[in-house]
Amino acid sequence: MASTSQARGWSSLPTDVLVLILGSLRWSSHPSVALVCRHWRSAASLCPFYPAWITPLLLNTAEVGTANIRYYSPYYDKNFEVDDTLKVPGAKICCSTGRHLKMCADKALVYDIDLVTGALVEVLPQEPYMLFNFVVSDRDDERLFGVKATITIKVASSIRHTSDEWEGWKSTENHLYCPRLRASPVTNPVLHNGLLYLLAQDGKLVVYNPCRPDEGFEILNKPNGFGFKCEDSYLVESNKGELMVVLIGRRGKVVHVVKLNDQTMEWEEVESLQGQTIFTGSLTTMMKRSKFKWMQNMIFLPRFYKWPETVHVDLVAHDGQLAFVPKLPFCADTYLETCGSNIWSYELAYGAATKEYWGTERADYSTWVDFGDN
Amino acid sequence: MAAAAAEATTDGGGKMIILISADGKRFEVTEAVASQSQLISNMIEDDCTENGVRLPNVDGDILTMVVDYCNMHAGDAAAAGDTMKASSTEEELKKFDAELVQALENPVLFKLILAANFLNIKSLLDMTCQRVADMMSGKTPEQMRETFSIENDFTPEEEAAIRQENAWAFDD
Repeated sequence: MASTSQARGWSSLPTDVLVLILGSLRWSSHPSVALVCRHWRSAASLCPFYPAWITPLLLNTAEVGTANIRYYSPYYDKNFEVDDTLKVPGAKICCSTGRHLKMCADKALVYDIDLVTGALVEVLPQEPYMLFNFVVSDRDDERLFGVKATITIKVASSIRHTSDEWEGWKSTENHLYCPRLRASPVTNPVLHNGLLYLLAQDGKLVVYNPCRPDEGFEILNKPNGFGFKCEDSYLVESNKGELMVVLIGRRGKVVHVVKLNDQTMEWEEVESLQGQTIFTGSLTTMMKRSKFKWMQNMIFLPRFYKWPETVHVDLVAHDGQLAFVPKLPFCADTYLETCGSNIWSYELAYGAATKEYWGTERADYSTWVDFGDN
Repeated sequence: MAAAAAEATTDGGGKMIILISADGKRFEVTEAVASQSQLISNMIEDDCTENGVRLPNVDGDILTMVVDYCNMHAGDAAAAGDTMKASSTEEELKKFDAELVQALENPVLFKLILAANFLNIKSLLDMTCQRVADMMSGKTPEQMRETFSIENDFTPEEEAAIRQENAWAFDD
């Protein structure tokens, strides 16, 4: 009476059962399941997906709050479009921390959106309100800083009570009056060794100690300048805990990376990223170690030679791991790795040729997000 | 005789159904217990359980476990001669499920999955599949083949192609 299934054992599990099992596994286990035997592979191929955690993604949208969210993957060179929007029309994208994105809108309202669930939390406006130039959160997304940096530099902070509640803003009494200091508008302040560093366009640093809010901001005497002319500068804390700045010359003609020597307090040019990859050109800049050789030592900016192909997907979590699941019947060739990429990138290496922006299109409303640390 | 038994009713008044395993073992259960199986529930609706339900895919020892499970989960379980309490609390259920699924030997787990799939008992299928997923989790293809005694039927070319398709998982 035993069916053929029983005779052939586990390799003959009904396909729908295998699909059910795959549904309880982390996405990263699927390729191993596919390699067990032909039958298991055929079941795995019924659950197509694109891993969303393997590199940072460029979140972008044609219009904040009304158009759908897209995630550009430099690995796949595709834009994955989900059905959700950022929910707050006209808001400014401020920063990303894991799956959380901060936005701010008129009247100093700050929003915290969970990109996976779509849950939107409003951080209470403060009285009297100030318009923030920058909003950043700490690594654990437990503390939020709002910074106003025009003519005077002021900061306000808020602490997360629970997953869906932030306490009201507390602003510092003390503010720094410095009409000539121009904060680099394209990069967020960065938390480094517990201090909040704001980058000025000329390479100077302004520092705030959250533990001593009454002292307010302070302009450091050193570093003085970068030693390079550049158009845009992006501040980031490296994986080794150093402050770094990516400097991009006019139209991308020149690219330099400098790091702060904490002994001499001067910017020093960095010759190699030691295999790391920098994702920059948005208010949030990230530095990551990539396991993909072709991405190592590369710097990516949200500029495109040709608009990448769009794939309509759902963002699906399995055991905390996120993947894009295509909505349409899947064609196998979409899996093929395309090394030729539409995004502007630069390899930081001796004698590397730069490519100008010429002919590229900027992704207007965009920021890098990282689903990798779950 | 089977028909007579199938129409027997318990004190509670629920109609009884006879399930017959591949090796001819007979199990008498209430409709409420049996209809956790979507397959049997459909048969009840279609009125074709009169002469007992033959389950040629399910062995007696596996059907015993399935019936135990269904009795436990029926809410108003009233299996004759069973020591289980009529109404099990959620905690008891969880404990029962965990012990059931943990104690299963590999071949039995396999047969239980096939039975749950054939009888279409969603909760039992989910639970047993989760157990398999836990056994697979974090294992390499070779370790999975070993765990489940599966032979590698790929050609080296096919294997290379799969690795290529999922280069993100294997590239180093």
